[in-house]
Amino acid sequence: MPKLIFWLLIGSIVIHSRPALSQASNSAELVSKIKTLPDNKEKVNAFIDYAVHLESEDLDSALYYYKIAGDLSKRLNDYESMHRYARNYTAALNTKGDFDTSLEVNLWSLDLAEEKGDSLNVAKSLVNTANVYNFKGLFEDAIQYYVKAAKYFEKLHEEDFLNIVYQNLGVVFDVTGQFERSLDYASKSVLMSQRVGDSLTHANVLINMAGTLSSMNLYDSAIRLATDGLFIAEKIKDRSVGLNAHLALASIFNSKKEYQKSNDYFQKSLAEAQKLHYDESVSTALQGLAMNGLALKNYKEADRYIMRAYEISKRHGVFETLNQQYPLIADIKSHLGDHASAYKFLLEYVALNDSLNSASLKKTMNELERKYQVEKKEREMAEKQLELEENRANIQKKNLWLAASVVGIVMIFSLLLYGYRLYKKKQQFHEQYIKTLQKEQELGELKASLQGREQERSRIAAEMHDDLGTGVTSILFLAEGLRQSNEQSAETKKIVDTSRNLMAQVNEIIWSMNSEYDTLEDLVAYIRNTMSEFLSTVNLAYEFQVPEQIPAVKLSGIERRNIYLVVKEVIHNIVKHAHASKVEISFSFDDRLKIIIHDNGKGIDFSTQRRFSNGLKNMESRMHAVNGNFTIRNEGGTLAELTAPLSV
Amino acid sequence: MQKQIAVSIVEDQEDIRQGMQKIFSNTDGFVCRSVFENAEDAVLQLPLDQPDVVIMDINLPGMTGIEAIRQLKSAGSPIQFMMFTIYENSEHVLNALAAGASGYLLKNTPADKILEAVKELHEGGSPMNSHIARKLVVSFQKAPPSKEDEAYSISAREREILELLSKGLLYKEISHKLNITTGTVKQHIHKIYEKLHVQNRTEALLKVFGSGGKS
Repeated sequence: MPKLIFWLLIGSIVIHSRPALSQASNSAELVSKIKTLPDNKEKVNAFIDYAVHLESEDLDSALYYYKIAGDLSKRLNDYESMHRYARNYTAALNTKGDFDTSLEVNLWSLDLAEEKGDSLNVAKSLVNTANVYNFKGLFEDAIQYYVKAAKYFEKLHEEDFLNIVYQNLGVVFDVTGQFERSLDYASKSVLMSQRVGDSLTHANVLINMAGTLSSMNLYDSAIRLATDGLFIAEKIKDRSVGLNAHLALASIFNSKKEYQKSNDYFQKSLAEAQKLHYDESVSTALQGLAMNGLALKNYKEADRYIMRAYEISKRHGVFETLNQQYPLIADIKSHLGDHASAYKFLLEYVALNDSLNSASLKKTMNELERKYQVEKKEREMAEKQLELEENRANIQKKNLWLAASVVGIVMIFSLLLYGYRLYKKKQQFHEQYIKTLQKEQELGELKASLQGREQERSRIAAEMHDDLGTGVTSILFLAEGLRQSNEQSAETKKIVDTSRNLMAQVNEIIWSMNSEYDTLEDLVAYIRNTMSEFLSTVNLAYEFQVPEQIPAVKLSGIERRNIYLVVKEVIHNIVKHAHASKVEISFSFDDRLKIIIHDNGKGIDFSTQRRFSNGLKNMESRMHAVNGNFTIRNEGGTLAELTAPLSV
Repeated sequence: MQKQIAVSIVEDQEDIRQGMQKIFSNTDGFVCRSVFENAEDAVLQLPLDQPDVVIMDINLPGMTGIEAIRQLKSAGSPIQFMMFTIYENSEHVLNALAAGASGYLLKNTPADKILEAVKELHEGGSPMNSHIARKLVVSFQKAPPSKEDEAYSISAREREILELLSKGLLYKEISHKLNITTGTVKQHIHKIYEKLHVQNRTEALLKVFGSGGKS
């Protein structure tokens, strides 16, 4: 059965200035400070303080303000604030699980300190860098950096910090299975904590030691140390450490096969972790409950717990945790008879491990294969006891095939992953370039068509209209501002209306020139949309009739523009002159596009309306220009008919 | 007393900025919380100002309005963004919506309509036109259909509304046709935008994490 590794406590060096005032007034004070201060060191500190204040409730916002603080400190080139930013930001990034960024920032601050010859900050950065390596599972790197840091701290007689290094070295040696050495460092840390009176580290280390002892099957000592840790945590009222003590106890009782006791502690941890919004601990507790469920053969319950845990880890993308969970899920699923899911999760496990250790690909594969074989054997043995001779042979055959295919799939997966990563990297690198290429290509295709030149002209024209649009908008708002502050005057209203109309027209031109809207469907939707809006504002009842199917036909800019403008003019004329109470607009697309606009007004007196006939001529010529027709007649009101050819 | 809607304005053109400021300052129910002439300042200050709605110009010197929205939204900002654009049919509008904006306003919109639109956005409604609707239909068709989770793919009703919008129908016409209120239509649109943001974020995630080993 897989062992549950609860999260070992790694001490980081953070420079927090704890607010002395009550939280609320402090927050408001910081905000006003940020608002009023010029760009100086104090402002950087205010940003950091504000982020610290936000961190426990809103990690993302905290990260955001840390980043702002960092940018400002870099701009000011202020050494101290740059370090303060780096310490706090990386600690928050670690909480978030963004180790890559954290590593980057830590290494940056290390460079910074080395350049300045500032040993203390060099050592602090070394510890924090080592921590990230630790989180990332790169233990050899972590040890190297811790040892370097320890040397610096010894030289500087910084016992507090040295203590943290000892604590963390204890963790790395535990994780890498070197328990004796781990206990060695942890004991050093306990002694030092007692001497300098650092209860927090004391409690943390006791809990860590309990974990190590549990791994060595020394359960009673483990329970004693964890209980001591819990006692100290409660004394200093640190709920987070208390939670870890509970998790440790739960985990030890699980290893000791006292599942009921273990369950009690996991349930307590779960409730507390949820209260504190520590997702990672929630996930650990759920995972522990699932393991107990598995041991107690409550498979359904175990499945429920583990899937909740899995959801959380998946959401946060914490590989280490997922790595523990995959085989557990597979185990539970196979007990539930869901072999397909079990297999799927095993593959996920393989893929994840592969991606975790791409450097030693081969080693990983062997190890995975071994792990898989061991797990398989365990399962087989359980099954063997229950199954008949014949079945057993079958299963063996099946499993052999399974093993062979897993190995095959691992290899294919690795190759794919490798290729995929290469491709991704290239893609990232050239993303902009590719995008430009695509645009060029699209543009090229268009250019190749008959409309090529027109498109090019349109694009240039559109850019010119940008300036025009901006200018008119300015006029509009100047006038609007006048209207807001002064009494309503007819002139300003006119300026507002005129510029607004001008803008609307510019928008129409832009629409007709944009090659993205070059389909019949676009034209119909645009007419329908703008005209319904217009008719609703003037309170004239209207009805559109549009066939369900609109043929996939392209129209040139000039076609769309002329057809739209004619429809618009007809409808505007109806509103102005026809005294109609209703208008019907119907489309049909047989071999030609046909638009009929029919109102129930007084009709047109063709003999007297000279001015109107100019408009008619104008509309006729617009339609002729696109090989279309325009007719208008009286038929229980006015009936205008536009037709235009549709080229497929 | 009715709660005031706090508005901030990001606009590089001084005339427009001041005009807008006056519109909000002189109207009951609105308060102009802050104004910015560039996106860099806005990104810094907006989380502190915590306005309800930000009117955001797209073309700004330096950082664009779209980038500013992306940054603020990715930091989990609850602020609603209203893009402020000269041209309705601009590619930028769609990009802004994908980045996290929930609405857009044309710069030639009458003052009373601006106020109405901001109020509507604040109350959970969002505007959309036929062109954007059509693009969204396509965009959601491209989205993997396997996702059963609600946050990702649009519902049948939402798709229906998008398709009607893409044909040029107005909100009130759609509400008649589907026998729902225009308020409901607006809420559906708002949800569609939210899903668009989720979709966009998920795509970004997939880019970072690679395949994730889906079977």
